[in-house]
Amino acid sequence: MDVSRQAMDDICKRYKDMVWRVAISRCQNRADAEDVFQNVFVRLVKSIRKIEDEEHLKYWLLRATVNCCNDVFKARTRAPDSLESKREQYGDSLKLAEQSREESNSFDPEQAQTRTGEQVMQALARMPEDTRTLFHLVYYEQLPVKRAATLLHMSEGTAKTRLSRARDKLRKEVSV
Amino acid sequence: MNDRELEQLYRQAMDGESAPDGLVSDTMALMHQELEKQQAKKATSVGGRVRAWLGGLHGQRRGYAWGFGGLAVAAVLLCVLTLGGSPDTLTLTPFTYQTDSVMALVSRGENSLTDVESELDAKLQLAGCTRTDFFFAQALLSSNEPAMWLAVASYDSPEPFEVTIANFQTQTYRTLAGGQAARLNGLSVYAGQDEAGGDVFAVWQQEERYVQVRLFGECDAAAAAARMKALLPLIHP
Repeated sequence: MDVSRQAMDDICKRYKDMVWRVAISRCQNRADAEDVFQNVFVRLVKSIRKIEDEEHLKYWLLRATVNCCNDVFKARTRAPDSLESKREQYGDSLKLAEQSREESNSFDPEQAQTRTGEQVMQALARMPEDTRTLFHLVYYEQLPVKRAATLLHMSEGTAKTRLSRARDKLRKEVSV
Repeated sequence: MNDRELEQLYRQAMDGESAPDGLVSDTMALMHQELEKQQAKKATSVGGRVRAWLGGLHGQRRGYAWGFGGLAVAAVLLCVLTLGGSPDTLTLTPFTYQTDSVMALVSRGENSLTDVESELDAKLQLAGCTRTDFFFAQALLSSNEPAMWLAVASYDSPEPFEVTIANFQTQTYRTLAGGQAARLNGLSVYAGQDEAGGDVFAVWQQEERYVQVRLFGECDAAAAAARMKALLPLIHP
């Protein structure tokens, strides 16, 4: 693939939201997602010559994002568990929960829809990261289950089971 | 609430998420820096200079250059094939892969090379990777042992790399994730013998994006085993 500055900028602009959404849904923390975002695109510069076409590029970026998130998790388990890191880690989820509590005092159909969306996000946040990522890849990125499963190093059967359980759990939590 | 509604809700919630502009511009700046680094490295590398030199030649002269280059490569290959592979010793020449990802597989000599190659391909396919290069060697660790194939493939993947360690005696395979092993001993990853104590054949070393494969050239099985045992605490502390 073309390795000029312009070409790299175009790729970054084209896939920035895709990479960001996978990173934020897997990491659940903006600071980590930002690190992952930068690492993915810097890695891409190193590997761009091996990328064959647009489909390969998309798959590569998704896979690199998942790998970079895993690196962050590994680093997190090595680092001492400081209060600050806990706050950073859960800060975004807490903010969302507070917002949702504040909004729950009044009723508005549009707000109700948003609230339900937030309930989905919060319920997903409590699930294991692989399930979250799988859910995102299949339902947002529209990846076939088989491909998403390969990307996450799991079998297609496991992926289908996890998706089905996640849907059941979400339905229960959101309808409460 | 049905699946479609659930999916719709998730999509709506996620649509609100987009990469912050500041982050995107900072990342582009980092990408430009990395690109310059890569280009500088390429310009000073031997391969880059040769390519630049070839690019400067025209017509017949370029043809001669390719011809002589091809002859030189053929001569080196002939030497390697003629001198390599005597029993009781590992006479494999160290070689270097300038790639991000390498996978190795060892198999008993009863299997044909085609079997080994297709097994390696199956593993790569399972991991969703495409093979970009392939190397194999046959070695005898001792006259009592059947010959073994060592097959190494580089593949195209954002994964750092993966090493499969084989124990010839128990015929078991264990896969070591590159990152996991690298965490144990800094930048280097070694492979060859598992806890049960199989035979020894190779050391892998990673230095940034370089993966070096060292195959105990010109040392006998005992020396290789001793060297590997010294390295094992690094892998299994």
